[in-house]
Amino acid sequence: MSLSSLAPNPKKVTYEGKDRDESIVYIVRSSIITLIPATILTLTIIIASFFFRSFLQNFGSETGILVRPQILPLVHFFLITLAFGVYLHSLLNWYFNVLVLSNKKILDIDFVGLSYKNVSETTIEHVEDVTSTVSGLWGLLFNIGNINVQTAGEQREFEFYNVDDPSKVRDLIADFAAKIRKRGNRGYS
Amino acid sequence: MLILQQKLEKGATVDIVNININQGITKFTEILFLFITLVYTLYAFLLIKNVKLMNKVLNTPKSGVFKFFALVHLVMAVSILVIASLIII
Repeated sequence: MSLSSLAPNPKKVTYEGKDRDESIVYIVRSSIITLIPATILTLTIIIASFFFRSFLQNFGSETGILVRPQILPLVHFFLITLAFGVYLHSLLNWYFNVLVLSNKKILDIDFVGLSYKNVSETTIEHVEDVTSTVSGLWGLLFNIGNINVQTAGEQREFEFYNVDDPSKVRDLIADFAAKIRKRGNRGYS
Repeated sequence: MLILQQKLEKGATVDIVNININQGITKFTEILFLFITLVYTLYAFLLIKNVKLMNKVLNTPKSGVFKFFALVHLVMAVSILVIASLIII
């Protein structure tokens, strides 16, 4: 698994609706740094699970117990499972929310939560303007920012958030689009 | 003697009421836990579906790994639900 935002020429990667003569040139993901909050939350749940177990064990020893002792390991294991689930969910969202740049199209694949999927695409020729923005403390510290691709089609813009080195990604997309436009319909090889 | 006997009887009644309330609280928290695990199992099941959908939209060499982890997560959730059901109900 590439830890960088930008994966050039990814091997054995396909997407729904990919043409036979189409090849993926770049995959852009959010920075791995965006997984830090989820990692902290996961570790917090794991650490809290031990305290919670101890709390349940000691709570109500005089006034009455909240759960029977045989339930305690289950509650603990449930919290560990919850931590695992939280991290897996964040990891999936990070891995599958991508901007795909092929020799024909540009695709923005978005998954939000468990029930929302949005895939937008346009041809490379329609890419008109690519903008990168770095803002906020995190952005300045880690050189993370957003990419905005404006197109001539009905889908006017693609926005992609928290990319590593956004200037480099912007430059790359813009150069690539210019190259394709120059070559006309022959496509990128 | 009669007063002492009455006090003891009252105390005993209070204790029985306390025990019943405590048992009620224990039962309530355990059933609440069971309900939470049930909801969580549904979430784990939906996560599997979501992974399938994600893999369909973007298929990568890591697709199998995510599928495996989602399945492990579901197995963990179902195990907790089944064991909790056996103990609580």
